[in-house]
Amino acid sequence: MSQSIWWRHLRFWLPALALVVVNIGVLTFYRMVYADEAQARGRLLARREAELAALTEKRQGSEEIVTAAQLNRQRVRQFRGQRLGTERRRLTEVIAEVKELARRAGLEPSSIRYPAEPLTEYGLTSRSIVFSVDGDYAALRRFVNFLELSERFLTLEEVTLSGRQGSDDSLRISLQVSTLFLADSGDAEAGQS
Amino acid sequence: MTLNLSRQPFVNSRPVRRLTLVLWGVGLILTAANLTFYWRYFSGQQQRRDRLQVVEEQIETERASLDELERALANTDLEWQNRQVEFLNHRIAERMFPWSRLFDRLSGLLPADVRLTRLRPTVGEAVDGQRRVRLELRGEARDGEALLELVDRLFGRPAFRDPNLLSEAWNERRRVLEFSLQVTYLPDATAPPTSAPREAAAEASE
Repeated sequence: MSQSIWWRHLRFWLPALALVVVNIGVLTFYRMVYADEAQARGRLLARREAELAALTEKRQGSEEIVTAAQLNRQRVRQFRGQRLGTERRRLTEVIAEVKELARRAGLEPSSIRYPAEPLTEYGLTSRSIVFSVDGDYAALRRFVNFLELSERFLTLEEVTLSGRQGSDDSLRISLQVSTLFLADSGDAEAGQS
Repeated sequence: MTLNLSRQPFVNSRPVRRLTLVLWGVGLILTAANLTFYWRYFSGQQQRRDRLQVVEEQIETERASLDELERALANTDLEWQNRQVEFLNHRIAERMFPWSRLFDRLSGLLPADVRLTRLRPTVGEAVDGQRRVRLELRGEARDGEALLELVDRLFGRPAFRDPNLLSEAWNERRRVLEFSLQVTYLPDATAPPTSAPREAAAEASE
């Protein structure tokens, strides 16, 4: 009786059962084959994306270094070109300027020395102008002020003072002013920089 | 009219119907799930493949750019360039040293019986954005008390740090105490708002 009723309704439940069985088979196949492959491909993509991110970061870092280096090179070249020059071109102008500033401040240099120090590594020469003058403190302050305002690359390195015999206000003032010149071979080096 | 039940015997078909319904339901749900999985797989696979190709191309581009940049960097002697920039910056800092401000500060600082005979600044590295200058001072004081007063005043000013008295010697002929000292000078230092009244007044005079 029971068998007969299942048999009689076979056309209803058998296709449904077949559908379930086929779907289970298809799902099992998916899980065994495609799911793993999809995961592996996903992992590969993630790895490659991470590699790309690292490369991008490294490239940006290198770009920043190259840009900074180019900017530095440009600024150095500009500084060397505009503010420094060879002794042949600028030495007499610099000496004349220092003397003129001293004279305007009320100081008359009596003796001047010009020691030079080659800075071969940088293609430069450091030239000092060392001189002694007789004057008062106010004149020294004026001279220092003129030096500070000068357009030239003049650096006051040292000030030495001593009182003059039999005088309250007058001082013996020794000053060391220095400047930089491009060494003759430094022109070529400036090109390198 | 009489109903003859024996001709139409009772058969309970409910379990069959129920199971059939359940099987169809499960079958349809599984079909929908499978369709979704496979559709996702195949469409996603294509997207992933495309994305992977794009990423590979970008990696190649990045590598080429990086190689080019590294060649450019190798051609630049960065170490020498940095040394040169550092040297020039140092010389510019020396050029920019505010001598007038130093004179102003020293004139407000020196005791009446002390005078300086030599002044040599050496510009050093900035610390916390503040320029630091090592100042070598030589001078003459009438006596030891005046010299110590100068050292005390240096300790009391924010623009001067760590005064270091190096030597002192009595010059019998000139009747003065010759001394030399080093002090760290901070050209950009300003007076703190809550300093002692005496020091604040002294700083204001600078």
